[in-house]
Amino acid sequence: MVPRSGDPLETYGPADFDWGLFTLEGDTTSLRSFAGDVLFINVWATWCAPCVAELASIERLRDSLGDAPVTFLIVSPEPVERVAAFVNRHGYRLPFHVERREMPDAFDLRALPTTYIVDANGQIVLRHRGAADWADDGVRAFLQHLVGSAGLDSAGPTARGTVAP
Amino acid sequence: MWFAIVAVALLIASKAPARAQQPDDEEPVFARLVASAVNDTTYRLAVTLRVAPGWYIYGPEPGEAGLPTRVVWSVPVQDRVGHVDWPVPIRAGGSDAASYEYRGEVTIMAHIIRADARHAGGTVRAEVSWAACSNVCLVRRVRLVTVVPSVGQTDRPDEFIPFVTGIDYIAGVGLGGTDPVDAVPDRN
Repeated sequence: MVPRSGDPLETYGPADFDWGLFTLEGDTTSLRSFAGDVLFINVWATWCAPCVAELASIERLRDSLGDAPVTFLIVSPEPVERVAAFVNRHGYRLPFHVERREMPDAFDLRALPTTYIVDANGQIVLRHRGAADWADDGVRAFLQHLVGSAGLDSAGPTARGTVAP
Repeated sequence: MWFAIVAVALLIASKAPARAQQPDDEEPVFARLVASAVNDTTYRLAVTLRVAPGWYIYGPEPGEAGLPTRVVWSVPVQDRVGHVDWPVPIRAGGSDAASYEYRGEVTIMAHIIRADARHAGGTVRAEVSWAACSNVCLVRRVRLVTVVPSVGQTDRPDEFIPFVTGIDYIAGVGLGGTDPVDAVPDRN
């Protein structure tokens, strides 16, 4: 699913950071706020059974990365109230957001779930359509490799990508 | 008005598969609209959705998870959409997140009360939207067009009514489950 650390990176082109988002608290943000980070972006919806099925593995992946500065954005196109109610009911611990504007065309979103990894240079280096088990050693190694390549420190995940436990 | 109808018809025709009428992983649902007369005062519109193996769509009441399949019927002025028959969907999922699904082929049938037999040959439409899922979900909306059957005209042979694939990708609001397509029948 992901390239090995030593492989040359194939990219899906540059990300477009002009993507307005809301937090589940209703605060306004945008992808531009996270430019320069290594990003793990998952687009999902509460009505989408395969999307929901992979959320637990995304949580495990995030936990397994420890202090590695990877920013997770779990984004739904649904109303914030619906997503917040769903997340609270199931107790997920991920940085959920909802769209304020449609995802830019650069991401070529055609299906749910779709997951993207964006490197610190703003290149989309992974685009995966469909559910997957993200709690995978290869995925973790790939993200750690991107963090190391970018010379990002390991002081901890950025506050922007962190949610209260 | 007729420009729009022709445009839609051409769009549908251009998207119709040239050979096999079988949905696949690229386009997992094909749709078709067939009209047939029941008697002097009633005709039927039947939307058939053919779902690829390994895929499913949701029922009109999808349950805890799922995006409802919806059909908006448009019939000539003064004709009236009567009751609509939806097949019973299959219950899937656990007790905490049950959903109601269709697999294989499903036909949704609307009974139309004919106001005037002279409407035969007029245009009827069905705008159909669904989410098809396997290990990924695709949202589609199609606009199907056919003509009001003459009194006494029974089902037309399938081969003359091609299935069409999705013609619109509904981004944003569609994926968000707030599809603007309304469940209430409308009329032209």
